[in-house]
Amino acid sequence: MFPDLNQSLGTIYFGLFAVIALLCGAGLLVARHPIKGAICLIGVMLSLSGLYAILHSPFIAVLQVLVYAGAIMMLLVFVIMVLNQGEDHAVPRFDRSSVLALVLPVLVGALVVATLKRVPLVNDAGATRGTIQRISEAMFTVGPASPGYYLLFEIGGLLLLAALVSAVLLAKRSLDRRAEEPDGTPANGAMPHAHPGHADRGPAVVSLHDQAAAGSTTVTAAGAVDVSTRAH
Amino acid sequence: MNAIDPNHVQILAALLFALGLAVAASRRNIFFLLMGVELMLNAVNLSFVGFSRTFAGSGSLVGHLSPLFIIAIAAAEACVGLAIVICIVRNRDSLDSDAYAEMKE
Amino acid sequence: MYPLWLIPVLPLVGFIVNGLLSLGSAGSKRGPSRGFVAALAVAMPLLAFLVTIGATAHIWNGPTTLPIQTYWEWLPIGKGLGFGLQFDRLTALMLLFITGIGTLIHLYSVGYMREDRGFARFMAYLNLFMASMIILVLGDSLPVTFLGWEGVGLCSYLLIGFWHQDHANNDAARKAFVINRIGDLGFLLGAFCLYLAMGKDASLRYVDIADFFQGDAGKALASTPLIVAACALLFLGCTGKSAQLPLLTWLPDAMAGPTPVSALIHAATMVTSGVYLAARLSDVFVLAPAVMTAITLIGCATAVYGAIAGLVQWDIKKVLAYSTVSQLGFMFMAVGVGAFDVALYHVFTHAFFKATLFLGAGSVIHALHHEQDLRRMGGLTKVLPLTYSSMVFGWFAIIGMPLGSGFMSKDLILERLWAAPDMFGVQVGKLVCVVALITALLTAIYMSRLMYYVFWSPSRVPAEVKAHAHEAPFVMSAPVLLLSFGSMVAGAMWFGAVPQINAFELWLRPVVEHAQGATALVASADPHAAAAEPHDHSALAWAIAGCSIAVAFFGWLIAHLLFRRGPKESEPRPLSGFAAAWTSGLDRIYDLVIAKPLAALAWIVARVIDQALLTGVLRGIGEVSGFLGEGYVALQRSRLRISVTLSLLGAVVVVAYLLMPVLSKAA
Repeated sequence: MFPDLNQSLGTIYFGLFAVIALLCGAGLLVARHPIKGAICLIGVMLSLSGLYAILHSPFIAVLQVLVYAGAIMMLLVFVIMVLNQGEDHAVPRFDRSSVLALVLPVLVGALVVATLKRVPLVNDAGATRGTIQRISEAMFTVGPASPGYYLLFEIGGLLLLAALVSAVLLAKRSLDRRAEEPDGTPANGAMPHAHPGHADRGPAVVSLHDQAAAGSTTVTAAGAVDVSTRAH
Repeated sequence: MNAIDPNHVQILAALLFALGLAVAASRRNIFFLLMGVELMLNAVNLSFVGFSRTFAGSGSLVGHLSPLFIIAIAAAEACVGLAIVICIVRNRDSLDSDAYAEMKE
Repeated sequence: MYPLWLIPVLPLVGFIVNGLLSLGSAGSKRGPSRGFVAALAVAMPLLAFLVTIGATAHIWNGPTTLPIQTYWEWLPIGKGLGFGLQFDRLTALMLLFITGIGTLIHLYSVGYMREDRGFARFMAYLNLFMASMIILVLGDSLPVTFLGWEGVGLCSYLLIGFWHQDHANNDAARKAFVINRIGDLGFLLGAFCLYLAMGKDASLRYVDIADFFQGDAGKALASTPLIVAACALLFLGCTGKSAQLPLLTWLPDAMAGPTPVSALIHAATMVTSGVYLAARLSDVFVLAPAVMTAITLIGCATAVYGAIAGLVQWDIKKVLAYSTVSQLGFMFMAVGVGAFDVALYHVFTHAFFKATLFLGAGSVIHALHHEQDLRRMGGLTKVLPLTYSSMVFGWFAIIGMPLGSGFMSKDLILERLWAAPDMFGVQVGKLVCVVALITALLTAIYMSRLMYYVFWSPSRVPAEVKAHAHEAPFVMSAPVLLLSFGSMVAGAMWFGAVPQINAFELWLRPVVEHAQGATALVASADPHAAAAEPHDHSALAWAIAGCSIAVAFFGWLIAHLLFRRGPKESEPRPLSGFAAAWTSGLDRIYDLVIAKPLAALAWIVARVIDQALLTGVLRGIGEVSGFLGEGYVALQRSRLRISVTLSLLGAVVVVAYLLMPVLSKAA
C-alpha cells in the first residue's frame, strides 16, 4: 500500500512519530482539563497509527484510526462533556502517593532496556506484511494446518455485545422512578445533578431492580437503547 | 525493509507503556485513570506490531492479528468502564478516585 | 485346692453391696436399712475369719505352707508374673488377727456409727479396707502386695475424711494420703532395685526372692549399692505406712476419723504392714547391715519421739496415736537387729491391747457425747464399768506389767537389742536397749496419766454431760471385752525368760529362721561380734524381765504422784509451749524445707512462666497477627490508585522474575 522507504527516510518518519507520541503522552500526564488529556491521547493514537503503517501493518493502522481514535476516544470525550466536568481545581493532579506511582514506570523502562541490551532484536527478512488479504487468510482459514482465529473472532463479537448491554444497563436510570417524578423533570432521563439528600438507591441496585422488573433482556435492550440515546 | 531498528520500536513501546502507567497510577481524576489504561493498551499494540517484523512467516502474522483483538477488547472495556463512571459520578458527584475508597467496605 | 480367694473376696462383696446401697440411697433422708447393712458388713469379715481358720488348720501339722494359687497372668515381667495368693505361716498369723480383730471392730462400729447418716458408706469402706489388707498379706509377690498396700492407703484416706463436711478432716485425710504416697514411691523404687539386683533370675515373687537371696548368688550381693538402695527404699515405704520418723506426722492427724477407724487401721492392721513387709523380705534386709542399723536407730528415735509427745497431749485419741507411733518404733528396733519374729510378736500383742485401748476410748467418747479432752474427764470408773475393766487390761498390757502381753513382747525386744551383734564396731544394740528402757518408762508414765485423768482422778465432767453418761451398748462393749481378754492371753504365746513357752517363735521359725541366722553370720565378719546364739541367754532374759517390771512400776508410781489429782487446768485450750513445739515441730520443718520451696516453685511456674511467658508469648503472637491483619486490611481498603499501583508492581515483579535468565547474562 505504501511505497518502500529507504533507510534514512524510515528513520526520520519513525523519529517524527515517536516524538509526537511521547510529547502527547507527556501532555496527558500533566493535563489538568480532561478534554485536553483526551486530545493528547488522540494525538498519541494518530501517531501510533502512522507507526503501524511504516511497520508494514496497514490494516492495523487504519483500524486504529477508525476504531480507537474515532470511536473509543469519541465516546470518552462525549462522556466527559456529558458529565460536565471542566477544569478540576479542587482535586490536585499529583500528591504524595503519586511518588510511589512514579517508581513503576522507571522499573518497567529499566527492565525492558536491560533485556533488549542482552537479547537484541533483529529484523527477519521473511516477515509478512499485514495486508488485508494476508490477515483475512490467516483469520478465516480453518484447516488442519492452521485452525485460524475464526472462533476468537466470533467470541470477540459476543464480548462486544455483552459490553454493550451491560453498559446500557449500568448507565440508565430506573424506569419506575422516571415515571414517578412529579415535579416535571424532563422524562428523557437527562442527567440532573445528584442531590445528596435524595433517597437515591445505588446504581447497581437500580440496574438489578430494573432487570428484575423488566424481565427479558431483549425488552430492556429495546427500551434501554431508547433511554441511552436520549441520555447522550 | 530493514530501515527501522526493532529495538528502538520496543523501547518506544516501553516508554509509552511507562507513561501510561504513570498516568494511571498517579492521577486522581478517574478519567485520567481510564486514559492511562488506554495508553498502555496502545503501547502494547505497538510492541506487537514491532515484533511482527522480527519473526518469519505465520509467526509474523500474530503480530498483526493480536492488535486487532486488543483494539476490540479495548473498545468493550472503554464502554463498560465509562458506564460505570457515569454510575458512580451520579452517586458521589465527584471525579476524585480517592472519594470512592469507602465503597470497598 | 483350698479357696484362698474367698478370703479377700468376701469383704469385697460386702463393700460392693453396701457401697451400692449407700449410693442408691444417696437421695433419701434416712439411708438404707441399718440392720441389713450391719449384718452384711459384720458377716463378711467373720466368714473370712472362718475361712482363714480352715486354711490354718490345713497347715497346722505338716506342710508349712499351702500351695501358691495363681489366678491369672498379670504382668509380663521376667518369666511372667501372675496374680497369686500364698498362705504360709506368716500369712496365717497376720490373717488370723486381721480378720479376727477386724470382725470385732466391725461389730463395734455397728454400735458406734449407727446413728450416723453415712453408716452404709462407713461399713462399705471398712469392708474395702479389710479386702485390701487381706490382699496385702495374702499376695505372693510384691506387685500383689502393692495392690493391697495402695488399697489400704486409699481406705485410710476415705475413712479419715469420713466426716467430710468438716474441712479439717479432709486436710488430715489428704495429709495421710500424700505422706503415704511418698512411702509408696519408696516401695516401688525399692522393688525395682531389687528386681535389677536379681539379674537374670529376676522375679518379684516372694518364694523366688527367698530362694535367690538364701542362695550363694544372693549372698554374694551383700552390701552392694543396689541391694543397699533397695533395702533403704523399701524401708522408706515401711516408714510411710508404719509412721516412722520421717513420715510419721500423718498418724496423729489421722485421729480426725471415727474411733473404730483409728482402732482398726491405725493401731491394729495398716500400720503393721511395714513390719510385715520387712519380715517378708527379711532375706534381703539382712544383706544390708548398714540399712538394718539405720532401721534400729530410726525406730529408736521414733519411739522416743512418740513417748515424749504422748506425755504432753490432752486429747485422748492423740495420746493413743503417739503411743502407737512409739510402739511401732519398738517393732522396728527389733527388725533392725534382725529379730523379725520378735517384731511380729509385738505386732500381735500390740494389735490386741491397742485395739482395746482405742475402742475403750471410743466408748468413753461416745458416753461423754463426743468429748475427747482429758481435762473434761475423770472419775468414770463407776459410770462405765465394762469399759473401765477392759481399759485396765489394756493399760496393764501396754505398760509392761508382769505377765501382760505387752510385757512379754517388749521384753523380748529388749533382750534381742541387748544381745545384738555390734554394728560397725559400736555396741549399738546395748545403747538402743537402754534408750528403749527409758522409753518404756515414759510409756508407763503417759499411759498411767491417761488412766488417771480418765478414771482415777476426781471428775471434771460437766454436770449435764455426766447426767447423760451411760455405759456403751452391748454391741460395743462386747468386742472391747473380748479384745482385752485377748490382750492378756496373747502373752502366753511366747515368754522370753522361759524358753519352753515359745509357741509363737516355733510357728514363725520356718519363715524367718534363715534371715535370723544370717544376721549373726553377716555381722560376724566384725571382729567384735558376740557370736553367741541369742536363744539361750536365760540369765539375761530374767535380768531384763526384772528391769522392765521395775520400770513399769516406777512409771506408775511417778504417774500416781504427779497425776492422781487430775490436771491443773480444766478448760480445754490448744497446745502451747513445749508441747506445741514438740508435736508440730516436724510439720513445721517439713513446711519450711519442702512445702515452702514447692510453693515458691509453683508461684514461679504460675506467675512467671505461665502468665508472663506463655500467656505473654501467646498474646504477643495474637497481637502480631492482629497487627499484620490490620495492616493487610488497610492495604485492601486503600485508595484506588494505591491498589492499582501495587497490583501493577506485582505484575512487574513477576515479569522481572521470568526474565531473570536473560537479565543475568552479561550485557
